[in-house]
Amino acid sequence: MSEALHALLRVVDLGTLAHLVLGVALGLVGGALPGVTITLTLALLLPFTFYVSPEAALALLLGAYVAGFTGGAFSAITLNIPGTPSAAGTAIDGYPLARKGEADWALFLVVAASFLGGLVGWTALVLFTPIVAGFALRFGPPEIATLVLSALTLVIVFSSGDLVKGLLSAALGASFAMVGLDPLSGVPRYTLGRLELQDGIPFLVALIGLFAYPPLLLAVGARADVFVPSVAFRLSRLLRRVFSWVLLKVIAVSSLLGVLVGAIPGTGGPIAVFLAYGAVRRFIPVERRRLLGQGAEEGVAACEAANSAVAPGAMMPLITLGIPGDPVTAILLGALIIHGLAPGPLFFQNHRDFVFEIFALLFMAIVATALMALVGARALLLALRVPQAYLVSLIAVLVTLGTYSIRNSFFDVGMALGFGLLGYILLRQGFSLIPLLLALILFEPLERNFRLGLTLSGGDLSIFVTRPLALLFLVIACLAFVLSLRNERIRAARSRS
Amino acid sequence: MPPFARRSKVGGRGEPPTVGKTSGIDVQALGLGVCGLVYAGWYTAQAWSLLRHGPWYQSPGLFPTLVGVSLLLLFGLFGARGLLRGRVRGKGMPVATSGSEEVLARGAAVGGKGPALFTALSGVYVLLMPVFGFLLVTPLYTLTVLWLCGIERRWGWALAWGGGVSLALYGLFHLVFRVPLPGIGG
Repeated sequence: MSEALHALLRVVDLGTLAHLVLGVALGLVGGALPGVTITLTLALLLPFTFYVSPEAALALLLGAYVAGFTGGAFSAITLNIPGTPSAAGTAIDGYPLARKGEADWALFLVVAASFLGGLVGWTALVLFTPIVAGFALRFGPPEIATLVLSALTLVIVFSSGDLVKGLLSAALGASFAMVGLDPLSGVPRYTLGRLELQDGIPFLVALIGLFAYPPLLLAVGARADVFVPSVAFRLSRLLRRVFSWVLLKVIAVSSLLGVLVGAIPGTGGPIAVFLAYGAVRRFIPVERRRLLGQGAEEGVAACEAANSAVAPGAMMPLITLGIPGDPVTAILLGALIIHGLAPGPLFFQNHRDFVFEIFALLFMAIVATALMALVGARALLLALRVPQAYLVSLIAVLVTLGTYSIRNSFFDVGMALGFGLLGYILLRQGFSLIPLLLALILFEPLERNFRLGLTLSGGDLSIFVTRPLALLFLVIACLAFVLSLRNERIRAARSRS
Repeated sequence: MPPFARRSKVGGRGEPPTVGKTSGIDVQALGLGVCGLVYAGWYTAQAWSLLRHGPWYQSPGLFPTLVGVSLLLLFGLFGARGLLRGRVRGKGMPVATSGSEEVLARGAAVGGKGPALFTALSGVYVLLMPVFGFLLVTPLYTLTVLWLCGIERRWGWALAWGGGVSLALYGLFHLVFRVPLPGIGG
């Protein structure tokens, strides 16, 4: 904890703070605007991070990441349209609360619960990251290969309602990951004779294409400008209201759930939110329980606390193992790689100071989000009135420029557009794009470490089951897969009946 | 108003697609399955050519072959499901989502020519930019996107918006970030 505080002092400079404030502001707005999403906001901000220091880059992205969750709740409460997927839970009680004339209290609850949830998540991150990182130092190629395999399996299982679609999405991602020179022999694979593909498909190009174009394609046909009701947000009055003991207990439990869920690859905010919403019933009195879904403040607090604790939780596998659990942490991974800081098992040992700077920046982002959301609540509600057509046209140009500036290549822009079209087609068929993206990122280390492991053992496959950690990861992967198959069968039987 | 930007008859804004109604063959799923099989076939054929003599685990074709065969099996299964089960509207919405899925759920019935035109327009924009330059092509692109989104009046304002966005972003990327953007005339 003291190292994190020292790092806090190191990152407090004007440039970093300015990037943090900008990131938080854009995250709040991006999260609040329906259809923009946190992923799209970060994808748009990513190109701007190429030209600044790693600290400033992370300040911008972490600020937007943390603030995006809070911003998403603003449109959920005032319009009943969640700005982000995770805010869907907040809308269940937040919107009825707003209709009762308590929109300002609901928004205040969002900010307070997000702040406390973020702090719980941050504390868990600071306490447990060194432990997990120490553990990760024991990993050799067989352990890394099986760990990546189990992470991918979890992503497929958790992010897809349909196992075949999840597997297909991951297989497509894996097929794109094979493009480029073979990591061990240097033989070109699927490069189509193009120089641009020799280094493989840059995952940032795929990420921008997959997650930025589909919302634009959908928005073009939707013409969805909305009426935003006016909300009186008087901070002095709100600060006088007291949080009950039950509410604080709800926030604490939901935050812990959020961190746990966030740390599992492929899960993310929506799962944490609905788990917390389900768990909240156990902690509130019966008379309050009946109010859930009709404007219970405990429902809003549970969803927001869980939601905000996900971000620090998701940072743990990224920092200690180099495994991004969702598209947002994949963007953070991309930003770190561009600055020559590739997370992995040795990251904590080799860049210990920088890891604590990440902790410090995350803490500052949590505090700045709470302060800016409270002060800027009225401005944020005004931002919801921006006509969507102007927003779409601006984002369309920004996406093009952002992709181009990765390698100054129009080929990359065309590739991103192709990925966008593929993403749109897959989304319309009910696929999740998360397994595709994460397979694209994780298949290269999986292949490299699998083949290295076999080279170490002279081709003996038992190396993956005789080493205890590798075996443990394989068992996790198998269990997740078998449970998913079982759930699929139960679902099929139910739909038949 | 662009002809494709009309309101859907099925479901409204914020209303998720109906779940559970089936109807004949799912042509879209079948089409995707067939296209996927073609891709998987090409992919696997390429992978075979990468298989080398020597230890099997050192072959650059090992993983591509595994991936190609998986793609063949999974696309086959997916296409067959589209053929046998019929279309189940709204089913299969992912559990954990990135955001686009929800946007899709809200605008599930939008579809139409809008997305296709936008993709084509963006493709033309990327092709023309190196030839005519960013500052010339971007205002036109912005204006067309505004039209696609249904801006019917205030064309003067839209033109000013297009010009302003182009100049601001050119200044930011080209002059501040030193990204080599083609200015005017490629």
